[in-house]
Amino acid sequence: MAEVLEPPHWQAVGLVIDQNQRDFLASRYSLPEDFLAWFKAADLFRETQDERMILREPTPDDLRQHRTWVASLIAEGERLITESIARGGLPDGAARFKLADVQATLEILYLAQREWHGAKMSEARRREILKAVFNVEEPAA
Amino acid sequence: MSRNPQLEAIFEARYAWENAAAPQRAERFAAYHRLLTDALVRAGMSAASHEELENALRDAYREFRRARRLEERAKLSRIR
Repeated sequence: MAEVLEPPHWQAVGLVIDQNQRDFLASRYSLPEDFLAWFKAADLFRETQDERMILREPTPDDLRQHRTWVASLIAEGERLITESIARGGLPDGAARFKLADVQATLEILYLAQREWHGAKMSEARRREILKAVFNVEEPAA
Repeated sequence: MSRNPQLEAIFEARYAWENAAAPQRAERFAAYHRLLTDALVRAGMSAASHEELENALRDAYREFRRARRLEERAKLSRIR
């Protein structure tokens, strides 16, 4: 029998984010471990985004869930950076990643937020940019 | 959308950034942004922002990402 992998769901994303927040507030783990948990939550979020919004047409509920969890992950990432700065940065040798890698992950989330929930560019401006920068022309819709 | 090598390179760089392991993300992010800057400078559009360029490429990148994910899924199903 063929193995069928169930795609990740928004509920799982939400549960992981909520658990990470509780762990952080309770100081249950070290700061590098909190960052690692956040990275994994961001990866699960992106995987769910692909499954539900890239590989298929997103439903209104997908868009609502996406808006909620991307905002939550951004807030949590910013909070972890603030906490890290307050403690003088990540301890030397405590993690394989740098704060710049956290910032670069936050940028992925900010970009996803803009692209899915921000203002859409006018069609005329879009065509103008594509023509000017890449010499790409598309037939009028 | 018809493609050109510069556009493909930008999409590849963005995909590499978004899918990199955490310790490689800052480096991949910088590489992606260098390509955006180069594209705008070459076109004499330095006043346009990276955000504006990303906005213009939004739908085309979704198509690129979708195709990539389907390719990866097909590879995985051959391995299993």
